[in-house]
Amino acid sequence: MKTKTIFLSLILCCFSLFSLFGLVGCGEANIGTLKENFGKLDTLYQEYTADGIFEGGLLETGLPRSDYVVTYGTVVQKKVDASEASYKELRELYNLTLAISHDYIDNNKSLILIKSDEDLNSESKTALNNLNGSLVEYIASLERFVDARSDLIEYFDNVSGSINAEADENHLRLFKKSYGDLVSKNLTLSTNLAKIIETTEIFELLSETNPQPNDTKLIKEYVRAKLLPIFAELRITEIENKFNFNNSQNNGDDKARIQTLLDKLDAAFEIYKPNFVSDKTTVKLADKDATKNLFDLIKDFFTEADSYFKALQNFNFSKFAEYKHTMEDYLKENSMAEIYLTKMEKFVEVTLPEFMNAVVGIIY
Amino acid sequence: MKKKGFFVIFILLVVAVVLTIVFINLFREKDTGALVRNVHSTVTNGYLNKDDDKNKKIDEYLTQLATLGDLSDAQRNQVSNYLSAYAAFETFGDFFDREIVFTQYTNEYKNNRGAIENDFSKAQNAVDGLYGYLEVNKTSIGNSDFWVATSWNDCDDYMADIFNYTVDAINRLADVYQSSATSNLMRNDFTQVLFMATENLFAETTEKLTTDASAGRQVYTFVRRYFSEDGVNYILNYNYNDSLQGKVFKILENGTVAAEYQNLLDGSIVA
Repeated sequence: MKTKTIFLSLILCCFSLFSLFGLVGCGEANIGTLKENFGKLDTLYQEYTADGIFEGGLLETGLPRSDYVVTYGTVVQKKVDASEASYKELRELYNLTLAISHDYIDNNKSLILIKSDEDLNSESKTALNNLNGSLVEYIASLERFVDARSDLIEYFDNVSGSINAEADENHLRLFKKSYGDLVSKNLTLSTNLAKIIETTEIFELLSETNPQPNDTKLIKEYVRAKLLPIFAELRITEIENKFNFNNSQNNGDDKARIQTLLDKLDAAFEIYKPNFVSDKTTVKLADKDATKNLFDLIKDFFTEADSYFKALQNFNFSKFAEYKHTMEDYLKENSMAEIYLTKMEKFVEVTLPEFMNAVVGIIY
Repeated sequence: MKKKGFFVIFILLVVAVVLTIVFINLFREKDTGALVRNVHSTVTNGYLNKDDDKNKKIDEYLTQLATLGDLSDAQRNQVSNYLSAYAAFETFGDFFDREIVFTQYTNEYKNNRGAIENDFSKAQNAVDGLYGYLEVNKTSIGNSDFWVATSWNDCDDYMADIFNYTVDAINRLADVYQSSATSNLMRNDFTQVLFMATENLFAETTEKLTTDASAGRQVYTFVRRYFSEDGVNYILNYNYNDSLQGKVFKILENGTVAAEYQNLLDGSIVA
């Protein structure tokens, strides 16, 4: 009886373990899943474009046309244009970020989709899981965004004005939140796509041969995708903070310091746009050594960028805004805040422009 | 029955061993957080904070003593060297405070963390002792404090401790930094030669402590040039500066006899 019980328990235990491993296995994405989900996303976009939610257009002079310009109803468009400047600023930033990020995905997803599961190493498989996860999340956030947009348009077309200005603001805020989520999820998606490309043999091959202009463009696109969150995250956070907190009592010096940081980031963005986003076609035929040097620069820079993101996350601008931009008060809450802010300043003022100029010197 | 008892004890032992391994792994130090906190506390609340009362008092004392005619030349050189070295320590403290938070756990960190914390603690004890002495033995006139030249005989041991322990901490921090900093932009051949030169300059200051007051000043100027908030730009730009890379390579190849080493010391290497 006793032996029988032990034997049965053992069998049961094995079954439980097999089921557990089976379930873990089920969660793994493969190239087929990815194709399917990208197909779903394309279908959704076709549908939404047909409905007039997205349209093709030019966001800024000198930048390529994008298929992902978000349209608003006429009433909302007027409302946003007439509202405080930051809404307009935020909308332009969201639009531009979404378009740059999404164009990168469109231009580069085939690099992964043409592969077969056998081509992927274990690092690529992990990256593929992350990519697929972010794709699923993006599709969900896109659907939520479209709903929020319809609600907003409906409200301003039918109800606005008959209630009060506060209600108008609340509706704009809700839409802003949903739009912010969409942009953020798209950035994660494009960054994850860049990460999986990094794990394949594509870059390895490029650094061992004499790359052709198209290869150089591929590297340029990769840098573009990886650089975008550096520009987007801090700028979006700070513009959003303007809405969420009352800054009337802020300390001038600290606020000016943050503004200087943003100004420097904007200045760096002006190097980024014409060199990494535009359709500049006169790419150099880089030789093997130059390409190796370029890859070294890229690797070193993005390792330092990780420190920048760590600083950005740990500084926590939203929390800082609660302290009405007074560093002295904030240091009581976050004793390392000064260190994190200094790191960001150094990165934005020195490291970022130096890197972009060096890359531009190699690829053009 | 006895057999069953042994079996239960055996199972319990296995469980205990497994749990011990799990807990050791769970609570094992995996990052440089402890050292980050120690350096930050020393720089913001301890003797490396230039706004700290004790630090200011020691600075006031050394500055005053360096100008007193009653000191022998050897003592005056000693005081001047300590004064400059202390200012260099503050700059180094700020540098490591800014950068060590972005490092990762390594064997070098594991081997040096305890010694660094010990060095800072002993140097802080010496600062506390010196500050206590200065408070008791000062003569206050108005808002100013004064000390007699003979006080130096009671203070030089404190200063020697502050100097020696802090230099040891800095040399160890440099080793930790050089192996633990994640980015090649902040940890490269250039930082390697900068740390090497710093170690040499501190050694030279020790050697010429009583004979040459310029030794300490040279350390201070060197450290300010390359490790201050602005000076760090030279490190950050190193990867993009082919000419500097060539010069640094020669220093790495030929050591202190390389002509470029002198250029590094006097700053002309980055001019």
